[in-house]
Amino acid sequence: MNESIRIIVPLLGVFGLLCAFLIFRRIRQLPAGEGAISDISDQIHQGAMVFMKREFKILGAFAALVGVILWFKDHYESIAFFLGALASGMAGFIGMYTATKANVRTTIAAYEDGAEKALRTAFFGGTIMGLTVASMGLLGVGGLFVFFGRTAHDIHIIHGFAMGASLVAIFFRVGGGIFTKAADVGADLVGKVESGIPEDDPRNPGVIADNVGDNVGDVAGMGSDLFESYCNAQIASMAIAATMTSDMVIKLAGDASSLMFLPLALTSSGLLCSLLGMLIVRAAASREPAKALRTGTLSASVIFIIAAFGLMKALGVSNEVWMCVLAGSVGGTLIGLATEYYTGGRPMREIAKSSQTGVATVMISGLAIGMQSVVIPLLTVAGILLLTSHLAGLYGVGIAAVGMLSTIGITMSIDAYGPVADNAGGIAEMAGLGKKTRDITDSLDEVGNTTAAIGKGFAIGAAALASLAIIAAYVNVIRQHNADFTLELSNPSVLTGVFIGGLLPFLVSSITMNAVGAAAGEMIEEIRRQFREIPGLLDGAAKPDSARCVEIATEAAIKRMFLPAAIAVLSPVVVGFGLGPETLGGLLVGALLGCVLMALLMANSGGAWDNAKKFIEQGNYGGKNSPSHRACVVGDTVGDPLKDTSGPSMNILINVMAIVALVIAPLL
Amino acid sequence: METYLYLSLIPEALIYSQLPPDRFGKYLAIGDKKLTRGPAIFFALDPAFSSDAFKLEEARKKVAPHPDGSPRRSTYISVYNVLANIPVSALGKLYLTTKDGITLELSPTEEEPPARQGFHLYQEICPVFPKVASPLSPKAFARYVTNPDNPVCLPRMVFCDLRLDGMATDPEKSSASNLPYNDMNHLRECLTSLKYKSDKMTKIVHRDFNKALLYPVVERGFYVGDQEDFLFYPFPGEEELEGVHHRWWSSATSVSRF
Repeated sequence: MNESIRIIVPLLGVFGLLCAFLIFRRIRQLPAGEGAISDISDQIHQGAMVFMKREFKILGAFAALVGVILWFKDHYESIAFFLGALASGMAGFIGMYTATKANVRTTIAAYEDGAEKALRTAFFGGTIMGLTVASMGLLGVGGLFVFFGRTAHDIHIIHGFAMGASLVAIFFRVGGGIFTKAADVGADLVGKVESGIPEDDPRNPGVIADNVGDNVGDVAGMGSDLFESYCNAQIASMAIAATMTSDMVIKLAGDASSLMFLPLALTSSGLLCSLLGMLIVRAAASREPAKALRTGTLSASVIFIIAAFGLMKALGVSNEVWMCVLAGSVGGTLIGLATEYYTGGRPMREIAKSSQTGVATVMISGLAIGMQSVVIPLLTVAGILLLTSHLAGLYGVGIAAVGMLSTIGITMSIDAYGPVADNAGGIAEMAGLGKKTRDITDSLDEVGNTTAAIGKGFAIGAAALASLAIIAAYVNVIRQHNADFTLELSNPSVLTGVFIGGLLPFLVSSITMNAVGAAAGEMIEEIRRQFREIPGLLDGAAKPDSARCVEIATEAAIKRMFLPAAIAVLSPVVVGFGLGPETLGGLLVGALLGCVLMALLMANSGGAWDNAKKFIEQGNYGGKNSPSHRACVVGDTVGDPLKDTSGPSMNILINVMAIVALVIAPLL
Repeated sequence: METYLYLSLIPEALIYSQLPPDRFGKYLAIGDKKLTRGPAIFFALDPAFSSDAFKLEEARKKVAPHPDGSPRRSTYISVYNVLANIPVSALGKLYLTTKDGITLELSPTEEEPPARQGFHLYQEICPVFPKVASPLSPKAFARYVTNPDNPVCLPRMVFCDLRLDGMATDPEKSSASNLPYNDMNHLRECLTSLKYKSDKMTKIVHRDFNKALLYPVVERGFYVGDQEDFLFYPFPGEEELEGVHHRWWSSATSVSRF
């Protein structure tokens, strides 16, 4: 393989960032409104920045501690760790910054120009996050590969980058999840605390925090989650390629360097395909929003699969590896479609139907559907695992994960579009822009809810495959200094690990779920104080101190995310050094299964409850305010922390544990 | 400080207050320190209204601001048999307050709502409060219920009509998927029984009053009538509620999660 082509990857990363910047400049030139509209959007933007700054402070201290520890293992790995944390943090910051600028412009576009312009603005607002995530990944992993990808011996340095990205991800995802639900619950409870203040009333001090929360959870949180999976999948594939037997290398490519470079080549072409997908969405914006977004995503995937075939030929990689890419890409789509079916199809309508007999049946059917919803994704992952390992060994598993995540540019764009559209609706509501504008933003938001549900399914599938690949890489790394190392179920140490790993997702879920209630309680106290101490707040003569509410929610979220983060980072270290690499391997397997099952159950039950409520609001089973509606509102309320806080934490939990295990593997 | 005279319908009471209608509605709905929660419906009366049935002068003397200068929120004049002693002609605007304390003002008209085919579902609000199905138009219903020739009658009544959609004309087969009532089968049976008993003018559907589910299902408006007088308070259409009265409508149709 020609060594000079490695430089193309980081250069493409720079190109992607340039595209993101140009889109941002274009969005900034759009009218941002004035008076109340501008005031509201400024508050949301400032709130988002307050959250980011507070989180960066804590994150910086935690990262410094971990980085210093890593320094003693390997200087370069420590530097890579800091770069990973920086890249992930910057991607989150840029995404939040731009999403909170695009929201008000979407509102104005809906008000002044109609649905087509509003869709374009919201979508391109999201593309900045999508492009930044993909480009930062290419720049970071590709840049490190230029320096440390020449020999199999140095490749472990890049693991540090993945660990840095994972650390930021757990802070953003868990902290963001707690923040978003605490703010949501807090804002809703204002009606119980104070009179005449509905949820979306600008006098409500919690309402800005609620809007900030949408961005914190679904832009920064989802972005860092996918960024981590994206980097981990590439890095794990490289690690497997670097430790592959020579027979396998010959079977798949002829030289190991091509196989090590392949993940980067695939993600590079994925970025270009994502850009093409974005142009397709732009061209299709006059159609229904859902169709436009779907056309863009599917087109990008199809073009990517064709491009991947060409790449394999150019790098001299066998067709078996291309089939792994195909399996990953198709698997990702299948998992997304299964999520869409369970949260928006017949099972969701069954929950709505069950609401005719009360809350209990809504809860039972929602849980049952959540449990059933794990079947297709798990069988898909199992199928991918079986097929790809048969085709290309453990390397195939990693490449399937890369295949699934290569078009992250457009996938993430569509995910980030959701909160932009949601916020646009909130601003229209608070600024009193009228029914016509709200109808447009509502239609965009409706699509955003579906894309968010699909995105969650995709993120879970991607995290599962990425961590499978890391576990495979972990086994290979251990085998380098312990050739007899195996993970056999007949070994009690492995089984012990499986049991310990299995309990972790439940423990972390319980901690994060309780954290929402406690953080919301602190918000309520602050809102109560403001109504008591700010004269004229109720009459609209004085403005609420929304920034303080954001600070309270941020502090509460940060305070309560430490324990889950510490469990994720420390459990592999404690088990690995305390009970040995076999038990750690078992722990990863148990945690992987537990995390994937819990994540799917929570995301799909929560999403299905949410959509069942919306289905009834459309006029089914008695419509809004009917007993059925009230029953579904309870389901939705229970489902909220499941799908937005604890569920998303599961993806990160398993990836963080796996990457920490991979980093400490040479020391075990 | 101005003094207002209000006729509250939930619960029935005649009250002097120094609060204007929007603040009085909020006070009625959620109390002074948020001790109560629920919608309020009340009429504004001319403060100069006089009647031998009430000790108005005595109560009026008590209507003075508090020592700290804050307005007197309520001075109750009567809490029993109030509507029966107030003629329709004395009634002014009608105010509808949501559970959150947000108030919508309705103005009266002496015209009847446009006639429509089929059955009606009425929510009686004061002085009694059953939900009643009837083939009679609102004005005819008011006349029928207040007719002293009937074995049971009321002196005067406030009520509103509730949405029936397709069930108004075809109670047996029409879809009722968008109607949020508790027991649809029972409602269907009540309407069907009226269909086959042409001499029956009223059929009680429910004896209680679901206050949480009133505003979202009002069809055309609120009515007050007796044997001589009749007033109609048109309820805004959904377009106007969504647009002009959005804040009130959001509050009226929201379902609290907690």
